[in-house]
Amino acid sequence: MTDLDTRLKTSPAESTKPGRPTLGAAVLTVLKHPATPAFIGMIAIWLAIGIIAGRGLVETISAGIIIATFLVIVGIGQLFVITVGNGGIDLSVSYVMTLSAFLACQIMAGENSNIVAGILVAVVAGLAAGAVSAVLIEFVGMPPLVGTLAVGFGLQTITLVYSGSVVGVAAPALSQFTTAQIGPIPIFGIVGVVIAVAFAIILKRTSYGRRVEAVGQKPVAASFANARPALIRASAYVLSGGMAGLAGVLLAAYSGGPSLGLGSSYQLASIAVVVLGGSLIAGGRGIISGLWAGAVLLTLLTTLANITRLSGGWQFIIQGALIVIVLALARNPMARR
Amino acid sequence: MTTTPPITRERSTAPTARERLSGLFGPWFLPSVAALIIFGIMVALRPLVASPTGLNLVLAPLIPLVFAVLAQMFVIAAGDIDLGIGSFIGLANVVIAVILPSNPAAGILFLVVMVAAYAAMGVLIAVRGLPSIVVTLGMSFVWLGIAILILPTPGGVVPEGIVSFVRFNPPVVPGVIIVLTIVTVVTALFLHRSKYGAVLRGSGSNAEGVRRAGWSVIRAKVSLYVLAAIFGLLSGLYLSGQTGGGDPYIAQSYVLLSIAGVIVGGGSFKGGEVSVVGAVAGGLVVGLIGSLLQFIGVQSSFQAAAQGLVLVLVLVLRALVNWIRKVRRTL
Repeated sequence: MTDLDTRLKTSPAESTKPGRPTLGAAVLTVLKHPATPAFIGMIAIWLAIGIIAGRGLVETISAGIIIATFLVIVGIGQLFVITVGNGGIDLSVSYVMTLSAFLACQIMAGENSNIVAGILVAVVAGLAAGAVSAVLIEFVGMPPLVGTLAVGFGLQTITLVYSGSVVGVAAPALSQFTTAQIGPIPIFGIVGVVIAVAFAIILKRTSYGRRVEAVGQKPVAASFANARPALIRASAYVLSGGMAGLAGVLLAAYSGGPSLGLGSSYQLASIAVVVLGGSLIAGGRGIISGLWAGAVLLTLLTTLANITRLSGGWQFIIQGALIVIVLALARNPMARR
Repeated sequence: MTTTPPITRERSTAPTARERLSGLFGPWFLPSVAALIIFGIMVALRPLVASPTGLNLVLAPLIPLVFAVLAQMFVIAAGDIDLGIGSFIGLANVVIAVILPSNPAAGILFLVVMVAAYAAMGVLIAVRGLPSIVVTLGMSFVWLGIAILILPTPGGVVPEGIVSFVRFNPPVVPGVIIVLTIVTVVTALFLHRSKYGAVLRGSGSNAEGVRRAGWSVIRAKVSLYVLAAIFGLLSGLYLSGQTGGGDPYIAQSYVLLSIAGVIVGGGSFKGGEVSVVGAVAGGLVVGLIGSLLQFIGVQSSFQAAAQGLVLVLVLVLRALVNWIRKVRRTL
């Protein structure tokens, strides 16, 4: 504190500003961080639930971060696809989740010993689906929207035909894992935070992650820096498929078993959390902390809508309008160039 | 062009036979042939399809889809993609089945506001340079949400006047043929032969050129979105008249099908490169494939995949053709 005071005196140029400059600067940095609006929104809705419903704040958030974790996992894949740019978007995630859930639950068949095999199959199925999208988009030259949607419809058909003949049950231990708590702290919510931190490190601290953002900013410049844009972009689709597969099996375990509508709400929501979190929709900048906050925000918003008995129509309107409004208010990605 | 003689090139600049041929046929040619072939297969399977009644039965369900394809075509002409057109058509259907019968003025006002909202969405996308895919996807949930608020479960009754208008079928020439011909000719003349049609297409393919010619690119793009909304409403109108009731989810499959129709019809995602005749033919191809699959007894759950597969195949084939052309040019 004294340090701040002396600096205030010794720098007359900054003394015209109110308050302490360095503290102000620090606050400003935090406020200007792209993830801040998502955190503010998250806290606002959290408090609103407490006030409106009179529910305990701790139980609200601990339930919230469990359910948000599925969205965090899918959203991270979507974030990588959006961040590599070139109009990247993965509309197949919801279909990958549903198919992976059915596959994994058939393999697990309610036996704890099959957990690893089940998760592995779900992830591999997702990776394969992502690889098909990647080939269609990067090597055949389809627009990402069409490539992923076409793969999605293919998967949907496979799921429709295949799901009729199987009765899959998630392994009970995996189901317990998704809902277990240590005191008030939900283990699965912590898993979500750990995954988010891990991928934030991958994106911001590894050479692969730096290439992902570089390719999204300027593919030509990135290729001079030894990144192969087509390969980096392809890897993002594969990653997104794998993450969607993982989220699918976990969600099936959480909800007791697979269902045909399992992933459907995640198609828009996975894009929404990327946008809400302050990542650039045109690519080049991914913010995973913001994505996590955005996922909790959306989950709490659904909780709030359920508490206030808002109809499903309003939930659609709020979610859709939220994306458009955030996009409209966000800094124009075109002005970046 | 004419003042600079080709000195170094040995071949003359006069169009070759192949170039003249492709200029004559244009991008609409292949999808039209494809539509006729599929229709021919259907006739071969069930000869009654070729009768006026059969023609009406087969083609009538495709009219709303063709309108949706044309709506999508306008957005693709702007260089954008519309993922909200299915929900928008569903909302139009719900308004026509629920609000219009009880309060015609409010219903019409609602439909006008919907077009205005589409224009506003176009302004937002054009002025702020936002990705159309995400904005229209977000808006699709807004349309769907509003439709569900108006009509939570399928129901409502479409006014008798609309039903008889849509099912209008004179004895000699099937009504569907009349509708398809009028819509195709009028839209094609406007987009491909009128001055403003050229400006509209230019806004997607060569925005800078349009700007330098003194036209407003933003106004052109907004016009395209308004046209898309109007065709979306027409699609909803025909869908309402044919089904007689309202359902918010009725046109969800149109999102992919309309994109497929435009692309099959020779359109390009690059913007500006669209063909009205091609889009109508493309819409018929995509729709007829669905009918054909039904004819030969393919489960409806396979149809989405089959139609998606057609889209993928067309794009793969086109990528292949472009690649061969590139290789040939470099040789």
